[in-house]
Amino acid sequence: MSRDIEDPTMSDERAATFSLPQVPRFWIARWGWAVAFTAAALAATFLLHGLEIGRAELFVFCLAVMASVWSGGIEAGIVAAVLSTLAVDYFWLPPIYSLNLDTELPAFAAFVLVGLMSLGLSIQRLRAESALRRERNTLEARVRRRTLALERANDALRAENAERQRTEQALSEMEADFARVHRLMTMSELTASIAHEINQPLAAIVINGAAALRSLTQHPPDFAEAGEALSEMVCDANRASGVIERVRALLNSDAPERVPLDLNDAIADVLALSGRAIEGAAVSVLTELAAGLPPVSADPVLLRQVLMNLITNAVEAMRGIEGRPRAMTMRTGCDRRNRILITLEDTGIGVDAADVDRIFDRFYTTKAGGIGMGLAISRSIVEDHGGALWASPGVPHGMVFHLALPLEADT
Amino acid sequence: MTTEPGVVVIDDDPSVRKALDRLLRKFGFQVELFSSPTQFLESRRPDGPGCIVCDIRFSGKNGLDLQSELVTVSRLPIIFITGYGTIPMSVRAMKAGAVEFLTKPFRDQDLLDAIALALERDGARRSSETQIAGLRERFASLTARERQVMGLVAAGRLNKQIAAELGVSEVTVKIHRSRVMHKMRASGLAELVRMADRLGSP
Repeated sequence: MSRDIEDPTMSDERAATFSLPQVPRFWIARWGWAVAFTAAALAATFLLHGLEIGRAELFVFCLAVMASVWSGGIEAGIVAAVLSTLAVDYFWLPPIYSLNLDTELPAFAAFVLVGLMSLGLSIQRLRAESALRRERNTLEARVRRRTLALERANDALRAENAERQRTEQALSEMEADFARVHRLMTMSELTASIAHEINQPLAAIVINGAAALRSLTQHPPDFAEAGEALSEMVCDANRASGVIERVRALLNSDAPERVPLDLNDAIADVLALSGRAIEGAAVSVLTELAAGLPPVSADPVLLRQVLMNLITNAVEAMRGIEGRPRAMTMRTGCDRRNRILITLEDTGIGVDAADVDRIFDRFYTTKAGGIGMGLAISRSIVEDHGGALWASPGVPHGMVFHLALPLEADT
Repeated sequence: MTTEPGVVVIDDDPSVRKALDRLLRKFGFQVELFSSPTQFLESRRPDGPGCIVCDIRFSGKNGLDLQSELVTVSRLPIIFITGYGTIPMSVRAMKAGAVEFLTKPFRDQDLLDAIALALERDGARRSSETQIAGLRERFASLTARERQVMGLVAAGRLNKQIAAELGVSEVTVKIHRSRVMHKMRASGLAELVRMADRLGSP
């Protein structure tokens, strides 16, 4: 491909070589045309002789020369011209049946001149035509070559594109895996340290309790020892609750941000962010967003996280669904209590009606790789905003999630 | 040397330490408290019978890494307690010879059972060590020739063969042999073989 583009001259020469395929390649054939046409012309002059048109009949030979050039090329034309001259001299110019020229020299000269002229014209015409043909062929070859090159470049681009998409898909899957593993690791670290922190005072309480029991049941009972153990148990119990207090403080360390937020914009942002996942699962998205929606007061990052979580859940629930459209519908509007309501419907696997409320429980999951925290966290975020998040079974399939948030003016 | 069994408690949490001290004293144990394995290793270790109750998770040095060090230095059986145990952790501890692996908060009876088992093991080890020490002492009282004869007898040779090997008369071998039996206080050939065995692989 690349060679064709870089070295066009070579191919042009090659094209020119094959530009006159209709001209016979062998001299016998070329001369054959000349002999045949001259003989035909001679026969014609004999026929025309009866019409008494004088020497005009001799111009038939000019036609023979031209025809020879057409059919057999320049060489054939020359041969035809020579043969015609000899034939005219021999058969038609006195003395007849001899090649001598006595009285008719001017006529003969005129004939030769006309013959040579027709020969020259024919040759010129032939050359012009073959040059034209050559040009056309060269042009065609070039166009063909360029088209081919373009097609190949196109194919390469398409392959590259497919490859890039595959890589992107693999990359996003890897990212998701990483995120999950990271989350699990962070959780397990956190759990380990919380467990250790709480189990220490619990162990002390249990041991002190056993010691106190022993002190009270022995004879005589040691009330002083039992009292000491009990007062330490109280201290350790307070310590355990202090640990829980600290963990809560740690998790809520940042005061929540509250800014006016347009939910339609937030939905558009999150849909754009989830584009890859949505396309990957071949899910069609329909949005019916109410125009002129008043803003809510919210933490934009947290609320986007909630929306992202709901969309991801919907997409996950529809992955692998066959035999019905995989469609997600998002609507915004106001409810009767003057709250902004977002509903998100999917046509996914759904959840049994009995389990609809359990999906918001911590560690409840129906996903293979899930840890069952997403909806629990989402609900607590929404409730922190003074809103509500609930779900209902979809009709006939899937799930509907409802997210209600108070207006900014009401908070 | 104390006769009361001693329990070494190693835990970085003062309340757990104090509670264990109270409970174990109630059950008649001598208790020594340390806040870290390093502190214990630096202290003069108790010679008396006992065991170690050690928390496995310490900031800095990991409890499990200290286990081998504790075992080599003190040779006391170890009971591990932990605030957050994992299965790999407990497997590793048990493989390395821990008596028990308890997750806090544990039942006091579980700890007392583990301590009883640990003390039993410690006692068995001590008595076997005492026996071996006595054997060594007796073996040391043998002459060079008697030791040679004892080795060959224990290897199952007949008096005739021993005499040929040592280039002495069979009667002489018999005399050496009866002296060996007397000095080692062996009641018969079988016991002598056992004694040689224990001396050979202490």
